[in-house]
Amino acid sequence: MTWFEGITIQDILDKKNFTFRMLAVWVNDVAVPRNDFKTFKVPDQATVQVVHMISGG
Amino acid sequence: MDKMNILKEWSYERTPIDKGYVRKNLHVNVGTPAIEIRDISQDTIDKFTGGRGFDLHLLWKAVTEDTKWNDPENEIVISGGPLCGITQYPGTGKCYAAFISPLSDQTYDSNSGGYFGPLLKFSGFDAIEIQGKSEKDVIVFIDGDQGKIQVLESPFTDINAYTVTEALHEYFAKDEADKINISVVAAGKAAESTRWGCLNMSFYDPRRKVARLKQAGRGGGGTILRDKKIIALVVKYSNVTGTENHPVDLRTLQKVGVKIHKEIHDLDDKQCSMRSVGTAHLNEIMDEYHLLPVHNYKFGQSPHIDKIHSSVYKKHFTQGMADGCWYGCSMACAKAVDKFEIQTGPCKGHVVTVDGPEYETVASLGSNVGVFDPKWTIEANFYADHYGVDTISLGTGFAFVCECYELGLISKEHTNGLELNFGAAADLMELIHRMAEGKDEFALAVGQGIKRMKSIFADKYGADKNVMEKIGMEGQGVETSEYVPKESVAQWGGYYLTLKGPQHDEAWLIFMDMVNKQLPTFEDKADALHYFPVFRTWFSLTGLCKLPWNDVEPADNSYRYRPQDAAKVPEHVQNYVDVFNAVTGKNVTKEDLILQSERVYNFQRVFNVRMKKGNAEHTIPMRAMGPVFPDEWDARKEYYDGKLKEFGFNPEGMPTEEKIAKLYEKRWGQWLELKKAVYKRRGWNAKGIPTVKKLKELGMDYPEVVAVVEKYSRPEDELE
Repeated sequence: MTWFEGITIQDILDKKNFTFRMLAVWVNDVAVPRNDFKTFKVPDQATVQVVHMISGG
Repeated sequence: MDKMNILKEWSYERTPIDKGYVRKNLHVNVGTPAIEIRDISQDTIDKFTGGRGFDLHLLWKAVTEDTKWNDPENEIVISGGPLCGITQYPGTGKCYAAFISPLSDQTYDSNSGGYFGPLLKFSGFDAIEIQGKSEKDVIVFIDGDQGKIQVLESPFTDINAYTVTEALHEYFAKDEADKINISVVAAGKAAESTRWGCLNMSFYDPRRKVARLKQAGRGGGGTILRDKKIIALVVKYSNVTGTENHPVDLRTLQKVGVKIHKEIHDLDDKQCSMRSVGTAHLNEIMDEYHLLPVHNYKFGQSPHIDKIHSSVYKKHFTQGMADGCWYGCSMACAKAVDKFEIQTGPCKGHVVTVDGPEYETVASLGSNVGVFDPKWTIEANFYADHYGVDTISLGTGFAFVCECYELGLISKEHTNGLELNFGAAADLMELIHRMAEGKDEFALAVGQGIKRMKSIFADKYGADKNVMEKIGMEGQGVETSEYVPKESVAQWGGYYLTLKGPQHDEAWLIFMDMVNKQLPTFEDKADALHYFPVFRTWFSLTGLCKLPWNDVEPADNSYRYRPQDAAKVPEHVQNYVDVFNAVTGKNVTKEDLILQSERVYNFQRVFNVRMKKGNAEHTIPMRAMGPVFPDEWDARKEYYDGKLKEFGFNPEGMPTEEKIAKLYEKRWGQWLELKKAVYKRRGWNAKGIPTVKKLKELGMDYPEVVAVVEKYSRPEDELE
């Protein structure tokens, strides 16, 4: 997806339509706590890994 | 209710529990009738741990390879496990029923909440075996207070679960306050005429002043209960304390308990909202990821999802109630709909409390049959419980019937006037009532389950067997539970490479595999299909509910561990190690939990090989692996065209039927590769039979177990 200045993890999750609450996110291999999703600014060219924890089943 | 006629009565001296075990099981033969209290050996404890392990061990000895589900020697064995009944940790009231299933003709294990498991143990028995067949309807009463067991003549003409359960709580209680000391296991009228009979297990809800029903729903245990002419099993034990299990280390138990109670209190609202909507929090999540079964699993999403959104169900569920199904469960997910007025059938006009619906029922008796009306689903849920039939099997079976009807494979002439299109709410409800009445030929055929429906519809109505094989969502004779597995290769295994059939309690790997892409190779998938089923087995050995494991997670779980490890919720696994050691005084590690489980897992597999006389290989229907018809493909055309491209095909200009055939051919190849990788990882041969080497590694090389393996294994099937 297209990066823009100030883009946060929450912006990315919204864009991807990820509404599942039990998500784990790594930015450039560093884990980011859920409470920081709205404020954590993702740098350009970063690798963002979004993982849905199991729950369910 | 008049005083019941006692057919036979015995006294016994209650053995106190020590470190989670009584070391006794109660054998009841309702045919004779006779009882026997048998010792449980140290070796049985060491190798089978408890719960489902004890069940299977006892069942193995009770049956032969020729035993059919309705033979007198088939048993229903119910056991909690060493942790069952502790009150310090959430989700500790579970018990497990095992039997030779009328659906699969092999072992089935099914779990239930409610108070039966704990009260049975407190009454002096780690397990109860029910064998034989009575000539008349009976009730088996275990009085743990008085040390008394009775077989009573049933006075009931209405044998349905709510009627029987409420009456028996009333009958055996001294007063209103005493009702919480009783638990009833009952089935219902539809359990007599279908193979989907469930075991309803009760607890008394003192706030609502009603008996609540939880279910060991799957596999047909209720059908066996009624075949034995048992109306109910009842247990009574009063004055439950928090130390009935006599744990060795109460302090650790309390400490670990407080920690998870705080987690649930602080985090549940931000995570799964189990306390307010239970598992129905999954409704819209499953829809969003194309996992909600719609119209017999044709689709994974519906434009009507808003009608069954968890927020809609939240309004139906009474809020602010302590909805735990055993003492001390702060997860409190046993939601209920109160003051619900029934619109149809024999209870029409009655105002009742309905247990659930949980996610599985919202999907099975909802989206899967094309009915997006929560009130209909709640009523169908009520009648399924009342009539003693499993909601998942019922809904998946009905979804198959609806598709057969829409395809013209069966018609109104066969259904005796019912129009069974998807969404035909009134006629589907009527079909439920007809199943309970047990007279209508078509309803009786439906109640045999999908596997047998396919043959009946082909033989009697001339329906195309080939089409039905593709769309019938069953594995090993058991209906698939409510997740669309098509797009996750690992979940094909999670459902169809299981011990008992496609039930989600073995492995649920869809997110790990399909969404997170954490299992890219067949070896990765095989590893997950080894670890997760085995780990989850442990809950069934010890008397625990799976939900507090991963439906709430520590605040730092998502960033403290790497994703692969985080999925296992390591802190909660450590809780289980600590709790097990605190109760039993043992000194197990997390690796030991896997060993305990793997022993029973492999034993059960050999048991199934024994019952199937060597032919216990796994199969999967086409619908579980991808689209069968063009409208399924077209609903996600871009996605499926992309999948074809991944296999090197150019979908441009290709007829949809050809696309479907090509994708299926490739996916069938993946299935075979998956099966081989999983069998190998589990230490099984190419026919899915555990090797003698594996049994020796596990210490499960009992002569009679090895004999089964040696009888059916061939050198050419070795995978190593």
